[in-house]
Amino acid sequence: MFDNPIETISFFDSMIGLLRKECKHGWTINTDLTQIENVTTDSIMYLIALMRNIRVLCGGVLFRGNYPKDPKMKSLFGKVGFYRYIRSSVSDFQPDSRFIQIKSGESVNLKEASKICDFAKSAGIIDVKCKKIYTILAELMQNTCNYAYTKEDVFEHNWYVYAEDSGDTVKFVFLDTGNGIPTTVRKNFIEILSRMIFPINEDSKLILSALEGAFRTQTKEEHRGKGLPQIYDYYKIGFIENLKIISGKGYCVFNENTYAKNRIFDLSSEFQGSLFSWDVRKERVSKCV
Amino acid sequence: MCIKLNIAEEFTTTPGIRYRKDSDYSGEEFREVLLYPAYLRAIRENKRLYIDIDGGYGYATSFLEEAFGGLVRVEGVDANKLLSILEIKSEDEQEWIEKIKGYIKDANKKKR
Repeated sequence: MFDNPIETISFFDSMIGLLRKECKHGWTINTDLTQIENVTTDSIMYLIALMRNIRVLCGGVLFRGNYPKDPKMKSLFGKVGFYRYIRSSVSDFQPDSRFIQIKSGESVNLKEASKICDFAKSAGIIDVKCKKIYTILAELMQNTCNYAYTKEDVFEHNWYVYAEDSGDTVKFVFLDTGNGIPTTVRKNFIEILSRMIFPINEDSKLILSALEGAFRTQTKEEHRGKGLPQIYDYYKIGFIENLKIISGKGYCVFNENTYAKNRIFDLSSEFQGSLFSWDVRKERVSKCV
Repeated sequence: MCIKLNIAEEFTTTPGIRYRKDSDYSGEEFREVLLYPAYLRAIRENKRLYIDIDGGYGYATSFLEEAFGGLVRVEGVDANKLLSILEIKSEDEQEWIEKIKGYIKDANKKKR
């Protein structure tokens, strides 16, 4: 998703559009995965979320699926737990200790967050950093439940999370398919936006402003809205690396602690929801000679 | 002499978010059930209030804000009195100590 956002989001957009238009109650939808040669876990996660949402939207829809011919891709779909979400003849894959299968929930579930922290700890992340991971997951779950959806939404109010031991780092991905940060900011902070000398129009800049805490000090409830700035602080002080966010049309990738190296721009297509990804580096423990 | 409260041992190792309605072990619940009574006892007995925040998985900002900022904002505690008797212990996440004090001061500013 982050490497090839335009093509990936366009594909999912067309899928959502087609299913919204054509999908009927009682349909069985076959997801043909045989030709997939390259996919990242965030896209699998998004596919799962969309399938669940289509089920809710159309009612009584059954998803079936096969698996990619490519052995690596087949293995990836199994390891991240894709086949738990669809009706499939594909037998369960053996659990891989380097992966946490995609988890989902509809309310703040800190027990689940603690299990992910346990996984990170077992992968070699030191305790102090695990606490930051817990904080991040708590903030994102909270945002999903408080801001990401509205009562009018027909989609399920779910979050999805995934973690993977990638060697030197542990990688985390968090997704919700709600309204997205830019829409939420526009809706809740219209007064602040209208007072700006140079109003922010771009989704990516709205995300950046939310991360920098622009919308926390001027609200009626100024004790709130500290979650995203906390996550950004962890990035700035180096507790997390490669912080990446797609929300609405906004695309933000923070690779370095300098603005010049960051990539912050608007996409041509809109992502339905918010996707976060970040890495936590394992400590190198020096060996006694 | 002080009144001691260890969040991980006496409340939970998996603290939730701000309100009871949104999660288990919320900041609101912690404040109402343990923190505010401990504060009142410390005042009554003229002791310091010592809170150990280590030992758990971590915290959401909203948990700590609602617990400590909420003492001032919701329970009407005098912020200066609270800050004068409060001692936060954290070796794992020392940055929370200053943030908690900041939440108390911010809540006080808003109260005025």
